Amino acid sequence: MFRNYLKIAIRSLVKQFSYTAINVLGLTVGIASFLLIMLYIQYHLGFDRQIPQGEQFYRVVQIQQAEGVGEQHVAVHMGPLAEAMVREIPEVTDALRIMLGWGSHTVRVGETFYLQQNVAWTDRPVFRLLGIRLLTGDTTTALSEPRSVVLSKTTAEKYFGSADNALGQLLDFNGEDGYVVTAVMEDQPKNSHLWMDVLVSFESVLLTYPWLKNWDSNSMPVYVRLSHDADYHSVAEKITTLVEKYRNPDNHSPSPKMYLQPLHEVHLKSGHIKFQVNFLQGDFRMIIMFVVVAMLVLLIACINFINLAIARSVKRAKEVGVRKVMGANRMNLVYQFLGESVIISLLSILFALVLVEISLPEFNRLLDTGLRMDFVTNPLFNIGLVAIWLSVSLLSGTYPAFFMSRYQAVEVLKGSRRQGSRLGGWLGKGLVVFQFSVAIVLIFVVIVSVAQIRYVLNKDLGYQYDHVLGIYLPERRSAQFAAALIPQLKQMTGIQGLAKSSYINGVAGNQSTIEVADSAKSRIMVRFGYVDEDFFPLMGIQLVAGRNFSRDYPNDYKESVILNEAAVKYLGWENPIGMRFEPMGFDTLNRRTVIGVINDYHYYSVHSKIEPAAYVIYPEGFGMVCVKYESGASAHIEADIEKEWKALFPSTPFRTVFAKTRIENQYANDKNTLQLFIMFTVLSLLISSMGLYGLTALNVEQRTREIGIRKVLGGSVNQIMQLVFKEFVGLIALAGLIAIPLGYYFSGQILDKFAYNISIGWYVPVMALLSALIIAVLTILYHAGKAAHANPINSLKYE
Amino acid sequence: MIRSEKLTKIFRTDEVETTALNQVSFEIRKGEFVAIMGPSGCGKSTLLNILGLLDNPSGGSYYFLDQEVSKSTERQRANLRKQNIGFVFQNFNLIDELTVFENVELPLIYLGMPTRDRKKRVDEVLEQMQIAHRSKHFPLQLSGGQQQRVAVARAVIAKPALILADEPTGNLDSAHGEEVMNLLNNLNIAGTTIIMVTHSQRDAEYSQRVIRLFDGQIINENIKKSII
Repeated sequence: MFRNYLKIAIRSLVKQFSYTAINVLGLTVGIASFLLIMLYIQYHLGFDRQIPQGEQFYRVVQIQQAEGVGEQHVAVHMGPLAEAMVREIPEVTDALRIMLGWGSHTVRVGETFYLQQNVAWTDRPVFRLLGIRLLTGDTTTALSEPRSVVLSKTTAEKYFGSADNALGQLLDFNGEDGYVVTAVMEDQPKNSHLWMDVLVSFESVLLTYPWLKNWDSNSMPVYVRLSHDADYHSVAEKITTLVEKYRNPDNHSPSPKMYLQPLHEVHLKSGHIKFQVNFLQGDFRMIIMFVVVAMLVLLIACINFINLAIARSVKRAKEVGVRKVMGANRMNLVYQFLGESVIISLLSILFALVLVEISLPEFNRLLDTGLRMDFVTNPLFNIGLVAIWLSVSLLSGTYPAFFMSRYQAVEVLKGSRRQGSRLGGWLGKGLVVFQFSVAIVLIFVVIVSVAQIRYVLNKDLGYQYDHVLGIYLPERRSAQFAAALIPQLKQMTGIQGLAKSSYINGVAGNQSTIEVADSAKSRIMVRFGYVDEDFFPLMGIQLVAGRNFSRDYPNDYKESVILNEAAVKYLGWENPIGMRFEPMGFDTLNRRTVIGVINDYHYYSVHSKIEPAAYVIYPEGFGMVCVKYESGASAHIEADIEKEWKALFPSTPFRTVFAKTRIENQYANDKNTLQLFIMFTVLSLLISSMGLYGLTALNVEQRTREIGIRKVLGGSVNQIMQLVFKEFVGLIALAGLIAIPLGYYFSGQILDKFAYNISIGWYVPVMALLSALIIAVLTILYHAGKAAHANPINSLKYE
Repeated sequence: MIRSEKLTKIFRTDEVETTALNQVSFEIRKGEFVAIMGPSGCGKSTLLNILGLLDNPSGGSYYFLDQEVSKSTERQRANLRKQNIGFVFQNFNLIDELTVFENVELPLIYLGMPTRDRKKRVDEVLEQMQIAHRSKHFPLQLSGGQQQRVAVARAVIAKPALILADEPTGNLDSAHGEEVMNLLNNLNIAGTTIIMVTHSQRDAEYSQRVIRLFDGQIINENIKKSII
């Protein structure tokens, strides 16, 4: 019996080739989207799984009430916290501080300089707690002495040729000599929120920054492992109490509230945390959104299957009748029709696998992932494939199977029955409405996203970033490098101006609370910016009050400060010029006087609000020379400067950043997400249209006789076309009614990711609806036209 | 073999009620060849559908093989049907996607016969119906007469005790029609009971008895002595 089913399934699929093609193509695309998303989710859920006993492992987070900023979650903490937690909280069995050096560090091996990223200062338990295995060296001693260094295998090979060679070798680190390689570790996985290529003993950084020993600054991520029976919420309360106990009693800011974030939430659920180390950070909401969209695309394809099967069922009614007369019972027929959907889904899965294989490289590029299909080592993927096969078969096959097997033999054979209404009744219509609702919502979201990205990229950020190049200066030798470099650059052609600053955006990345020198002792948390006298003019940043730093006022560098408008606004000052702050703890103990106020410019992306900022001249903090060049020099400026650099500092690596590139990179994720959305939208439209195309074809075919009679009675081509259109266009209008409120809702969700966003204009719903309508009309046009122009004699003779 | 008592069938739509059969009673014995005749719309096909267990009557009793079946479920009727009744239709009702062989094989599949036995039996019957040389062809590649021979082959394949034929020659020219009637006649001689609905007086000649229907009622029952 099975062979008979298979035979008739294959023959009827081959016979109705275009119908089969629409189904297989739609399901292929739907399943391929779904598989891609499945791999994508698996990749994200695989983060940080290498850490042993990860379910007892937590990241410490603190909630600060920052004056001028508001409540903020921060995942960096005080140096002594880790040790104190182990000592005083019984449930904390282990704690680990890992201070990751932001950016690059200079390493000198012999006479060769390297720029090293992913450097972490940490303590001995790191090996045991993170499950790091050593290739050479001893975990108990590797990080116990100051200036001990552990290299990853790849790094060791880069510096010393091999892991074995590296052990015991000396190197210079950020200009300090005497660092010893005490161990070589395996390369660390990249699907981890911590990337570590070089470990340095924490003692080493304490030599340079002894203030890390006290409770005043938050500088490093801290992790804990709890005992089996511990409740992490109550441990968090104990940590809050502990911090309160040890905090500097002179610190008047509210004491932070501490909590513990489970390790496996760090990668995907950390969007609310401001200062954190989180490589390749993912966004749980985006993943959910993609899952929903992928499921919708698959659902749309299944709906095509259902709708076409029902619309086509009239053609197969005779077969059903004959089989029933010959003794088939209803379940025999249900199995037979289900068998057909099983075959179609199997075919689609095979094609989908090919499609996924082809599109993976592009998908990986868009999402910055390394996904691949692996049937051997990824059993979950295989199980998923079978699950998709079964659920698609059942989802799309069950209803048509029961629908068709319902035909009564006697009615079908009498030939009087014209069962199976044109669109499969209300269900069929509902499904078409659903398909087009999804399509319209997606178009809506895409239009809004495109508008927002354009807004963001064209927004006046409050400064001029075109034709500005930043040259990185090596840490702790920046002043010396700048002094040598700048005179050379000044002699070059094509350069319009030069300035020094902490970074190309003017701010340093850190945040501190400063205190107003008045009786109220008002406090405000600010971003610090270290800039020289030339930075604001170079970047076109406007002063709204007072004056810029000036070489005419030699005391500016130790006595003056410039604020942004956000800071002034928070402090509520009408006349900020001349107001004074308590010493801010740089190299001077002087109070600083406000000499100027600059406009609020977006030093970070428009995802976040502009926070209060304070700018001082602090030469030790200059990390960069900013170069403003003539537009004509774009092509060669970097190479020209590199030549000068090589001549001056032959052994130090040359590294730069273009201000414009940096800004574009801030929205790279948004752009990639948008591209994915566009892809899904196009796919869902394509599949919906294919379904509509097939449905119109069947509709017209079944109405051949009606159309013939109408024509004989004098119906014009136009009237006949209208007849065909009316049925579908109404459905799409209804889809629009449902989709537009949803479009507003989902677009709102996407715009919420930006602190500064567009408002959704009236043109958005109109465009979304119109484009769906146009696509539908174009789809229907062919068959409607064919039917309207056909010779009625043929259709009537056929009857 | 078959006995009906006051068999009634009423079709209802929202506005109209049509009585297709009105208290029809008769009996057909094993081995008979009975023709049912009457003008269009007199209820012939409705009667045949009820006799063939494709439909249930609205009232009255129907005894098939001494079993009262007028209130059977679809499943029970399907079971009785596939073991005891073969059908021949005016428009053949072959499945276009299946070959001649596969069409004829179909009832045996639903009876659950093993593949090897099926093949043997189908080959036999196709031989008997002189259509074996076309066994790999599809219905649309055959002439009308050939299609109807395939349909008869399919009707007899499961060796049913009863064959119901609904205008078996209606779509055939006279030569082919005669061929089919001879096939049915031979089956009857071999012991199969045959009930045939027909318009054709010529075809009715093959039967031993004619039941005439008019407006859902039997108006006349002729018993003929023998076949010519």
